[in-house]
Amino acid sequence: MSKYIHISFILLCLGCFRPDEYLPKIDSQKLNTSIELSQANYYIQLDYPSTLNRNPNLKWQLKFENSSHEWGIYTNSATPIKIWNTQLNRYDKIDSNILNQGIPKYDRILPNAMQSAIGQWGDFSFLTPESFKDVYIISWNDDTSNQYYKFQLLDVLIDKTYRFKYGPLNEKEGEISEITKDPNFLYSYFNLSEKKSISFVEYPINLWDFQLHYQIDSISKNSKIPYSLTQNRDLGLFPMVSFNHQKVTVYLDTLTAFEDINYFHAKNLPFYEAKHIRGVFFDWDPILNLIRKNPKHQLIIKKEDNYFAIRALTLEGKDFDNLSIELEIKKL
Amino acid sequence: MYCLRIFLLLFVFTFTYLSQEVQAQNNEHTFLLSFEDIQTANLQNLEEAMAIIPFFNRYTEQGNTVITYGTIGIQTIAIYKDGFPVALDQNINYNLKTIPLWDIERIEVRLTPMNTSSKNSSITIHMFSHKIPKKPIWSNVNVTNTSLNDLHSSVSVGLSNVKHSGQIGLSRSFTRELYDQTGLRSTAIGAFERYDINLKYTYKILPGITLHVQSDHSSMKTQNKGDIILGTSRVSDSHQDFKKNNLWGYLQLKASKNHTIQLDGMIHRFNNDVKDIDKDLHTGQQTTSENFDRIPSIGYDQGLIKLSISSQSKPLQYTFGIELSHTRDNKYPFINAVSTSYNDYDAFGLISYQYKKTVLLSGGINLWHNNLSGSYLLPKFQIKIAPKKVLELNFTSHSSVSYAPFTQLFYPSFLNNGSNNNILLKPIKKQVNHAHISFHQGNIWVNSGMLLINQNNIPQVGNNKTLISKGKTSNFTTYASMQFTLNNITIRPSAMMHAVNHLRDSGNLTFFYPELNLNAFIKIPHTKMAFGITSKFLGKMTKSFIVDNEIYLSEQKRIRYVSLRLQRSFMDNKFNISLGLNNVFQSSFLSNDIFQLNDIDKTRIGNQNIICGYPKSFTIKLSYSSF
Repeated sequence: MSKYIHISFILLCLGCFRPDEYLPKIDSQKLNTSIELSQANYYIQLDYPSTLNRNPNLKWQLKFENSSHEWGIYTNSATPIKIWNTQLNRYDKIDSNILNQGIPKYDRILPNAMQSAIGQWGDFSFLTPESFKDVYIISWNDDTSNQYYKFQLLDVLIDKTYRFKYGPLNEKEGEISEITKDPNFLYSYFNLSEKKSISFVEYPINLWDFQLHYQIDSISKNSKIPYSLTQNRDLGLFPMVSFNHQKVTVYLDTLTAFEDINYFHAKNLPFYEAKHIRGVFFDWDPILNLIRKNPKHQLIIKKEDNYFAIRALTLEGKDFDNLSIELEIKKL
Repeated sequence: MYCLRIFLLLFVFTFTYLSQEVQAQNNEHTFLLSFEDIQTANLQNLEEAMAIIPFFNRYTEQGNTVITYGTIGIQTIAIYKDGFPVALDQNINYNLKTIPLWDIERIEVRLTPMNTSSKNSSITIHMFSHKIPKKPIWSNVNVTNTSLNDLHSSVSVGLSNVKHSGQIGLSRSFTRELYDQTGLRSTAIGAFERYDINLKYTYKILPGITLHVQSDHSSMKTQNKGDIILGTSRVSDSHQDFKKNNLWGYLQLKASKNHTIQLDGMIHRFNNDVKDIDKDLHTGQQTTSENFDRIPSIGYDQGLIKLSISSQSKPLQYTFGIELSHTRDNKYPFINAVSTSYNDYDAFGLISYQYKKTVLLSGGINLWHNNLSGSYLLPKFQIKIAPKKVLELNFTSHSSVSYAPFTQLFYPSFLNNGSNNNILLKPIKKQVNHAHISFHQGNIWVNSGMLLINQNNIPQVGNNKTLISKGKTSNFTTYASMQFTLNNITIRPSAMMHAVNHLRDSGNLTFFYPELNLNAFIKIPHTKMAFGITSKFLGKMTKSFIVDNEIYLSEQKRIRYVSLRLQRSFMDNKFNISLGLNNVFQSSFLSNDIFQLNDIDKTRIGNQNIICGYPKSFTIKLSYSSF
């Protein structure tokens, strides 16, 4: 009898769901990168953590948002560019006399980093920019002199092309150019003085998820974030993390320890679309007055159904002239 | 006109003269899968059987099982168990794995049967369970184990006396998963475990009054495993939990020698809960969520009540009655404030008149009303020349309707491949013309015929991505099947050629594919041993389909199913041991080519992997019956 019971038991054991496998702990990836003040941009890809770097072509003044659902025009944040809305829409009536009416302001980046630079003073927060006709004055220094240009957005064509008029301040008839949204890149870039689009400023969007670089901004408004001084004592160079917002959404976790962040924690977090965050991973040491890693900043990035937790593991170098950072990237 | 009448008369008389009356046979089916075939092919559920049953093609594509006969999906082919529909309208993506075969004696395919149903009735599949043995007490035990580590077991116990007879059957069936070709952990077909309790009870209240009640209850769990997500110790699995309760029966009153009044009823409720389970295989932590991007959870309530009166008197036989049915989504009773349910009201009549022994004329009509799509008049007509003779000639014209898939009627676009639902979709209308000759002499039964099916009102994506009833298909088949039976030998070969046109409304391309079947069971004299074979060969099959006004072709490679079985009996045939070999030649995976059709040529644009079955396996089955 016991033989039959034994056979029956073996038979019943055969026909059952297999239990789940056990896997050893997967180590997180370490990524060493220097982020020197030579203002190179460091593009990081998360699936197979790696860095691409490119010395940016800075000879452009305006960049145009390429996302299909978004319209936006931004100034070059790596160089000091001033911008001012004249609140006039007669392009030909505006000349250098207008400078007597007001001082062009610096572009300001809002904390949520979603606002268009030009829209800051005007009415650029719109779905269809056809009503937007104000002329802007854009000013920058090209090493020899201050340049003043007029800029007026005219229209958008077939929902994917910017059409705008621009030219030196005293020219009545401006140039009209068009920039068509290129789905392969996050932004399109334009040089006003050379009257042409600039290529190869950034890598195609499928090659990177976020980038480390620097951005000029007001010191007084960002006093808690470490920065490097510039020739203009009001402006500092701030370390910046910019996101490939067409592919990723982010959450900055300052409460949870890096070791405790896992998929089940990240899954319920409210991720949001961000273009950049300043000062992530960095902090001032108030006693030594040196830059140091910020242990509270755990950046969580959601890319499709994948989640990545990122923190600064080590920081070498005392200032931004010679700084290298080791990022720990944990795929959740 | 006179010439035609004279010709017809001569034809009928010649036929009558040549024909010899033979013993009456109830050969309503065109194709049959017998109990022995089911055992030989080790078929555990109806989905597995659909790969073997002649006429049909079954494969799994991206986790979904597709069962078709040419251009016709299984959703428009009624499936009955002991005369009652197993899933009523069949438009609810019913999982045929949940229909067990351990209590089934035979499966029949009937082409254009003269039935009283208006829905999905042009081609029907009938499963018949074992009759309750007329024994005071009996039992039956079966255990099947395969080299793939599948295990299927069932126990049935029954009691019977003059007035009451009843049985209860319990079953557990476990089928191992089939892993993806490329993945290490992901499954192409998930493992599933099913428990069944089937009950059957008959009460002969009075000599002319019978109450029969049957119920099938099943619970099935399916585990589809996902790949390990690269760079993590995490996986995402999908679990399905299916539960079914189906209760049906009839009260039959013999009103006179030839007249019967019958009241049928059925209540069917089922739910299939689908959950995605995210697991960390290092920590063991896991969470569940419902993923609408994949298969959503579903649940339906169905009810049927039917009253009929029939007469078996000669030469005129008739059946009249009414049928009411109701289908309700119990998972999402309202979607966008629309009630997800519908009702059918059907009045039917079927009359047969036999002129001497020469001609049998049958005609029927259904007046069918659906509260969503309106009323339809569905006629049927059949003429049989020399019925039940050696040579019988039969022509049938048959109209029926099938509902559009329930999701296409009610569900939002993400469950309809991005198309918007349309509650006013018309039912798919099927017009079938069937002509066949059958020859029955001694031990040989030969059946050959032609079947033409035209379907209209097939849902297709129209303007604004809204589904509309505009698609048309056609299907033409010539077939020949034979059954040869001697005391120890049963052989049933069949051959057919199908012509399919999936895009009769646009591309109008017809493709042909052949099919061969051979089922046999041979008892070896004086050895208590028997040998069985089931086999099916499907030739290369081309299907046309349309996406964004572009026509594509999918070429399915040939499929071969062969199963062998050797059986030895002991203890006066009460105890049997069977050794089987299943799916001898066929590999599990097929890579079908996809072409885009140009004006002058076709361009290969890729391929599509499908699964047509489990790999080759060995089977051992032990069975014991106390009778």
